[in-house]
Amino acid sequence: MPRDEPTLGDLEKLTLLAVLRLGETAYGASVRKELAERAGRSVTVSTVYVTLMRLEEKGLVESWLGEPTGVRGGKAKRHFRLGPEGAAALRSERETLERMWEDMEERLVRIEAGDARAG
Amino acid sequence: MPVPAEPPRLAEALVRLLLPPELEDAVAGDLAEEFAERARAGSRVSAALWYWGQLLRLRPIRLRRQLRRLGGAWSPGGRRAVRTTSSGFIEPTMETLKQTFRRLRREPGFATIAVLSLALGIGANTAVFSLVNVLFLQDRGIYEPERAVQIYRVGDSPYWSISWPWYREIRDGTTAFEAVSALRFVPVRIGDRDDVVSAVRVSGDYFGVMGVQPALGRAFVPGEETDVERSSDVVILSHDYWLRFEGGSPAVLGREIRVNARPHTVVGVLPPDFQGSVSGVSAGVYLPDHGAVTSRADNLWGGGRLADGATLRQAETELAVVAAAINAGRPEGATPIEFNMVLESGVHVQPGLDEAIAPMAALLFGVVGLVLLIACTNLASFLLARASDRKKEFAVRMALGAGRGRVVRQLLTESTILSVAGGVCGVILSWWGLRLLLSVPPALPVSVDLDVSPGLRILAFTLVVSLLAGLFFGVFPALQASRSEVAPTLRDESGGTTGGRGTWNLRGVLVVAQVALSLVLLAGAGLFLRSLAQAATIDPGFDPEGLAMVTVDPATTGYEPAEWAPLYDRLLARARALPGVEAAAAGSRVPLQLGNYRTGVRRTDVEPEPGREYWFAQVVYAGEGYFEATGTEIRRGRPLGTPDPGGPVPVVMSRSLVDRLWNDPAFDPVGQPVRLSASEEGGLVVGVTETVHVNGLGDDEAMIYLPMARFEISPVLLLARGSGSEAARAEELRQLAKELDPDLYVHSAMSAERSAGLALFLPRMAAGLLASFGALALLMAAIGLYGVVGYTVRRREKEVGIRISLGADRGDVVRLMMKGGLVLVGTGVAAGLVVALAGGRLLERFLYGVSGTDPLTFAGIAVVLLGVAALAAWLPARRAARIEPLEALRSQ
Repeated sequence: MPRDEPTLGDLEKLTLLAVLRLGETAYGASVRKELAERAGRSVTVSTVYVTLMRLEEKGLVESWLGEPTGVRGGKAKRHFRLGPEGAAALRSERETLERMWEDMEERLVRIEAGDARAG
Repeated sequence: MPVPAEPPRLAEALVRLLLPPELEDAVAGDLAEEFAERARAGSRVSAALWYWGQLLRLRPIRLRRQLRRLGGAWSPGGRRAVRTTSSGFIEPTMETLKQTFRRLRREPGFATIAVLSLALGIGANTAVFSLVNVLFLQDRGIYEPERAVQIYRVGDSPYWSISWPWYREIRDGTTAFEAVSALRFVPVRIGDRDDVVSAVRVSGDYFGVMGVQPALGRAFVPGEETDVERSSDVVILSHDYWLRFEGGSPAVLGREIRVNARPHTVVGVLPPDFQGSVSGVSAGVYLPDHGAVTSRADNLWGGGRLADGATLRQAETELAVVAAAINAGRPEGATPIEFNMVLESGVHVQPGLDEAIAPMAALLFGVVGLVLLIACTNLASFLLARASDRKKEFAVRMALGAGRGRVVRQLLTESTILSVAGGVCGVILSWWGLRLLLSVPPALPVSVDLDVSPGLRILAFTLVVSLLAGLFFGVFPALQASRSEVAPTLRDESGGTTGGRGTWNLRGVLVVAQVALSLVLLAGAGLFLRSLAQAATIDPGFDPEGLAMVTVDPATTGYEPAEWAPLYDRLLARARALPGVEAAAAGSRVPLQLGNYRTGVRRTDVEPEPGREYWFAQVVYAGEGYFEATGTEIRRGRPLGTPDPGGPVPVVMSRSLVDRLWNDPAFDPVGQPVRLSASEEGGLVVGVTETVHVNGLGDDEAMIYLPMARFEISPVLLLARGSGSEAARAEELRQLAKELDPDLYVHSAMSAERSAGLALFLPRMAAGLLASFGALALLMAAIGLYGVVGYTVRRREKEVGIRISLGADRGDVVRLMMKGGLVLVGTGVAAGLVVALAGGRLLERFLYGVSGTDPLTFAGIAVVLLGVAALAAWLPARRAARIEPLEALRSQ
């Protein structure tokens, strides 16, 4: 990965992915839920916002304040969406992982099967 | 709808207290929302517990710190509801640019190859355009060229030179011209330098005809050249010469420089944009043509400028009257004179040369155009492959409402960035290449000087070519992407076994085009190489191997004509004493040296045909031992020997001249008397040589050899044959001449092979260029094919897996994978052969000894191409055999 691209923490990656997955419906609570349900990562509301702000600081997500809604006591949501840099960062992450994974499935299976020669 | 549960008041108050105002709505809202959900799904108590838990773990300090780092972006009114990418044109374009650069940076290999191949293609086009520009498009610096004419005599070609007396008749016998001039190119020596400066000697108001005012000083005063006393020898410098040798100093006016050992006063410097009468041939200095008056020179190019109100028609009529008057005064049977005018505005280099250069330029443009086309095709193919890999990405973008336009724009941005980068590198490459090409001085009698530095017009051309190229190779993938259907792509149908079918997709067509184009180029290269090989088997009529030569010019050193022959004798005596020298002689020229020095000859026993007083043959003035030294074989009779001072001039002629004079190549002319235009005394044929090639291996110009002893010849070539290095021997010859007289003008020391090399220059260059471009094209086509087959294998992995698990032979699988590729190659070869066979006919005029449809060449090239293509298809196809069925089926 080129030097000038920000490195991503584990939680940041997952949060980016959650924002990507949620599309138009990404905001603090939905991201937190997505992280809990899909990634099995239970994080506090506070942590979600720190992470989202950090991602915005890195230019990977964009956010804007929506209109107040009654469901949440008349409070406005802050919506998030992936910026082009965020998309690029995710793609790069994915490619790195895929490169690392290339041809490894068989070994993994063998190791899981207890074959000592593998690896 | 039930009212949602409210979170515990105290806890909520604390949350509000702890949060910065910018986060209040978002965070407290989220907490309230989830509290309500939990309360609905479970109990209010557990929801309240959860809320308190969140409060305890609220990290107000971290949140505030992180918020500060956002720099007010979240403050109310900061960027509220502003969607940065939804509207406007500039913004998305900048964003597209940024995205593109990011993509390219992630694929440095692809970007490098793309830019390089484009640079080669665009660079080649820029180089050829630079040449065309300087030869055909550049302003030659002539004022109102549509009112200036060049005047020739119609002879074997419409552009024969005129003689001084005729020039005088035109000058005095016409009123349609306000100025009339004549000029000839002559090499001169300046100062004591032993280099050759090409000079233009002018008669009449040359600068008036050109409409050129010197930048410094004055033009020639009309009549300056007829001042036979030469009380004032004057010289005008070209702008280039002035800068190079006089440092661009205005103080040069009035300075004396020696031209051919005579002091001349510099009276003017020409403006920089004046290209001279023949663009590309740089005349260093301009001199009044004193000699033309006395020597009745007949190698002049006439020129005239139409007077105010005079028409071209009027000038034509007047010229015809002048010609009629001249013809009336000529002897019975003499060829009638007819003048021919060419408007300067229609001349590019020189009317005769234009006819030869234009098809060469067209050929070159054709070649480099093909190279660029192949480069673009290759990139289009690459981008198509990438586009189909990125299909899903595009589909997602479109599904999210990115719009086709935006996706297409991104792809086109990408291709444009690549092609503009390629164009920038191409300009640099072409400049290097041209400088390299032009820095090798061909052994021409005049110095070629082409200013090919990239000017505005060339940069504009390159930009247009780059953009067109970018559009061309970007439009295919863009079209494909914009056609891609969102839903099926997202459902992922690429893994199906049907996905890999269809050899005849766009990429396939591109491979066919590439193979066809590279076949065309390679066939061209093959034809030129065969032509060269044929040329090498031709007997040039002399033996350049082992022959060294140097030019000595006593005339321009200030020797009197009577002193020339004794000087040559002394030089030859010294040359024969050099170690290793077997034979030495003097002569005016050697074969294959290029040049046009003719003399007239005719039989005495028959009346000349009407309209043809003499046969004109290329003349060589040969000293004693010339035939032995040059290795020219005497087939009949004897060499010239030592002629008597009086009596008929002994003559040796080439078989082709015998054929022309007696209409019978087998006729033995030895002992026959002939009339010569060069001597009143007449000649006697003493010997016959084989056909000798003067201006190229393809010509068989008639040659006549006259003894130097009967004529006063300067400059001459000193020739020495022997063992060892010819270049070293040429240098020895130069040194011994300088030792004998340090002032003697001695130049152009070189081997005869180098001198003869120019005759092969054109076919060698053509073969070299076509072969290297053809190889490049083949490489690109191979890469393209490799990509296509590799891609097919990847897409059909599952199918192959099934086939193998069903017991298909792995060799069969490889063949199956290759088959599609080879069908493409076969089609390409067939299409290429058709085009190349048609194109070969156009090449025929440049070829020697080989037909433009030479079956051996075409078959050979087709076999080479098929071989390379098979390899390029086999390499990726081999991978198919290694596919593990289980893995292939499990993947995706």
